[in-house]
Amino acid sequence: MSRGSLLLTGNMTPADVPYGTLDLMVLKTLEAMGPLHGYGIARRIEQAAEGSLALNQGTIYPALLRLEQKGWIASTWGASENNRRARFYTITRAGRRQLLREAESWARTVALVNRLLQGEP
Amino acid sequence: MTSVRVILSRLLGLFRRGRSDADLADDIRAHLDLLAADYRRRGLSAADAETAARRDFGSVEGMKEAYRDRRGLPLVEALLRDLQYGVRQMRRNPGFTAAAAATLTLGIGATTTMFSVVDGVLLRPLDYPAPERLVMLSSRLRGSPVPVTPGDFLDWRATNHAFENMTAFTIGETTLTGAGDPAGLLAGVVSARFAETLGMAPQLGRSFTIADEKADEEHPPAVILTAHLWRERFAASPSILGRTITLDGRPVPIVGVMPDRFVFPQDLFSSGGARALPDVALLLPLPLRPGDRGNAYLQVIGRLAPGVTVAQARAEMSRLAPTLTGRAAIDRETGGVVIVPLQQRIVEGVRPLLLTLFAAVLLLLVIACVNVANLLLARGAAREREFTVRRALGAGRGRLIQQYLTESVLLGVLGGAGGLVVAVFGVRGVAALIPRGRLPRVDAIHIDARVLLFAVVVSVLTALMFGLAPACRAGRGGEAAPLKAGNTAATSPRQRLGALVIAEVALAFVLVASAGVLLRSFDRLTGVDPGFRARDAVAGDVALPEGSYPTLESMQRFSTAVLSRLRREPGIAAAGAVNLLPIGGNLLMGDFAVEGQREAPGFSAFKPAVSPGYFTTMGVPIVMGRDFNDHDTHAAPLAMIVTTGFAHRFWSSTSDAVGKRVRLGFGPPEQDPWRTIVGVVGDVKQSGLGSEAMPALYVPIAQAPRPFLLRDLSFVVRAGGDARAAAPAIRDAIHQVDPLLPVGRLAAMSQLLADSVSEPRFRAVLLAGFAGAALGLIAIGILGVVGYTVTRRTREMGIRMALGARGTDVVGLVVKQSLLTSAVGVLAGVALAMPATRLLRRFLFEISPDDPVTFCAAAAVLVLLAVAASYVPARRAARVDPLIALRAE
Repeated sequence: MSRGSLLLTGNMTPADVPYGTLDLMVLKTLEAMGPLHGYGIARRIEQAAEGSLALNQGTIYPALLRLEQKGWIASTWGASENNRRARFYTITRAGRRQLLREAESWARTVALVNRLLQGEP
Repeated sequence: MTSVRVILSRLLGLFRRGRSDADLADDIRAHLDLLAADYRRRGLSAADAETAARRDFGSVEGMKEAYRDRRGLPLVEALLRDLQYGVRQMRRNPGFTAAAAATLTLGIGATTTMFSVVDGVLLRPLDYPAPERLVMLSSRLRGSPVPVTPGDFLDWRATNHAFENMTAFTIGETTLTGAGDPAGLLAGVVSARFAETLGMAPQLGRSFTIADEKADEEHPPAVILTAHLWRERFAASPSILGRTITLDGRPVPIVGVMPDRFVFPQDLFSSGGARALPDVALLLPLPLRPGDRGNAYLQVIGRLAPGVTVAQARAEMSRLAPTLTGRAAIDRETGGVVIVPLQQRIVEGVRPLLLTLFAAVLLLLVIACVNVANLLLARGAAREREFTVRRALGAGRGRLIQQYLTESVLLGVLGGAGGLVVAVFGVRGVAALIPRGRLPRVDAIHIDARVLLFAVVVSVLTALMFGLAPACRAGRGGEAAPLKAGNTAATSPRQRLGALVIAEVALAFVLVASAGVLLRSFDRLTGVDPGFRARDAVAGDVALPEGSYPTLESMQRFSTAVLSRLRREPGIAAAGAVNLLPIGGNLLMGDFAVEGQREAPGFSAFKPAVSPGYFTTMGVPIVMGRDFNDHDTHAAPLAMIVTTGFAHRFWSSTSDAVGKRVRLGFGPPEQDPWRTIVGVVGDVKQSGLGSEAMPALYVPIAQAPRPFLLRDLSFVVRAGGDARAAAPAIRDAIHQVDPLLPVGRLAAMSQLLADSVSEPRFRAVLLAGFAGAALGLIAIGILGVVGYTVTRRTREMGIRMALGARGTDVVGLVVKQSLLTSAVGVLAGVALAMPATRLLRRFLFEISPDDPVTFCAAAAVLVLLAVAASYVPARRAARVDPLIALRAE
């Protein structure tokens, strides 16, 4: 099973970003922006990363499937700007709860690491 | 919680594959479209925009694969694909599939059938509550358990506190009148607390009490019906208690009804081992007198007290030994008492037989597996190309092995399903073949969840067994050699095939040799002289009820009257009467004393009562002295006739025996008076052809000591001309004397003899069946293997024939190969068969387990079969035009 690979450029060295981070980004995007289709989500994530992230946009779909299987997002059919049939995704209540949990977890990790770094004389 | 959701949606994903693929395609198209539109807005050409869009998107196919992996259950999908592929393969090779499936059906079906027999008879616990606490108690005589005397039973019950309950029983017959047609019924004559000991309290009314035991033998105070009789004759009336029924002419009150699931215990002492008694219709109380140790006819079952083990019960009995009398004098150590768990006692007689048959059927299964493995290897070699290509395209070894095994399991399941169908009929067939009443717990044999589970497990195991080797070969198929055209040098698989054929032949030899010795043993058994002339002798049984025949004299008058009528019949050459018919199933043995000799401890003799003319009728030779005659009335001096064996045991010659005196027991002289020997007759095999002729002491019916001895009589006639008229003549004579008396079994003595060897016949027939099946499988196997080998060597044969070899030379080559292989297989088989047939020793009658004639015959059969089976495909190949053969590759 291939992992999604997000190519990180700029300040960070290229590395594989695990799906957990992608989940967080997708959920946040949907929470902030409302219903989006796959292209929209991928675009928005790129914009938010301000150029330091260039992802293979296709990898978003397995991630979206997983999120949907877990019940954190829901999908409906609609039409894209080009009038093509496409799925639109919205975050669910369970998804919002998960987002909060993930955000908290991130914050704790960051705070812990910061404390460790600052702790050095 | 989320994981459950995930699993559920992945499960659903399995079913929506097509839809889901279409949806994803739509999404992808929309996405790419939007990306391309972006790039066009930035000024790229349409074509460049497309390329840029695709680059941004990434690998579509790779993403789709990741998506699919996540959507469903990849493992299950792979399995389903393998199954589909397997089914396609099987349909493409119908001949192979049919041969393999048929082979497996035979093997698995036979194994499942035997397992359900073994399960029902040996493994399933008895149908009583806490059956593991039930034990059988018996007296010991010359090392074997024998029935118990009433005196002993009462002693044990009173003194041994290791038991919560103990009960004794025997079988009797009684005539029911006044409730439907008069009928002779089988009755269980049981002591107090019989139902409690077994754990089956009556569903209505009460069980028998100690008070019931004190009643007179002639006047039973109560009767308990079985549920079956209650339904059949009394319409399951709820107010049945207190009603009286007429048994043997006497009114007896009904005091209880047994529960529906009650099964009367097996008869543990019938000749030939334990016997099921499904026909017991009612229970009567057993009259018991303390100190009555004259005759041993009771079977005793005890229920251990809670927490007590069998060992403790035995220890308790040894502790009590010095206080016990009677037969206890024989064996101080155990008090002459044998205590064994009931289920063990019931099945121990047949356990060796059933395990032997099961082993034989397993052998058959192994042969079937080897056969299928052969076929798979043969076909696998043809698929080598396919596997090599797949390996080259990147399929993992494990993947190929998994697929091959899936196909094998599919084959196994197919064979298992067929086998289950075979087993359903097989069980019915075997149950019909089992001689009636010879196998205990026949009622427990049926196909249920356990047997089904067994069938499934066996199918999977056999599939793995025959599939593993070819599967590993498939996985290994990575050499480039098979891809090259013209590769016919398949030596390695041929060696393996040869080894498998040798194994098959060896195993089949074991089966054929075993069947052979059993058949020869059966042949010898039926050739034994029973001591009387069975041809043209017919016997009819009656049971004289106490109501109509209260005294000895009435029974003796009856016997005389019937005999005189029989002798007047034109078609009857001779007639006689006896109470213990040889091979008839009745055994009554007891003590005796010879005047002037010390009593031989533990020595019992048969004590039949016969009429004058009995010996002539039965064709038993009178060796010395005279037969009984009409002068031997009850007022005349008491006479006795003994057998040759008895005479030789105590006196040096038969002539010495005449004139000596013998008593039939140790009681006071009024009870057991001295009788004078007036004649000596030939030995008779009372219990069967396979057993020794036990010594017998005959008394005239007119001088029979006690009434109960004459309750059961058999009238024997020797037909002068047409034997078929004899049976009706017996029935007529009985009815002329007493129209109300039901006539029991009417059978030709030759039929009784045949029935008595039904178990050895059963063994021989079943094993012969297995051997036959094995031979069939060998034939199929060799046909298949040789057919394959010959096809692979078509080109080689074409060259030979083009160079001048004749068709017969080619055939000779193949046949010689087959001869060699089968000969090696036979040698291996002999090595295996010698220890194997030794296991059959207990079933063999006057034939040694490694009987050379049988072994040679088996070897000849197998070699000839192998040669014949290889000749056919070889001939077919030799007829092929050499030019066609050369072009074959």
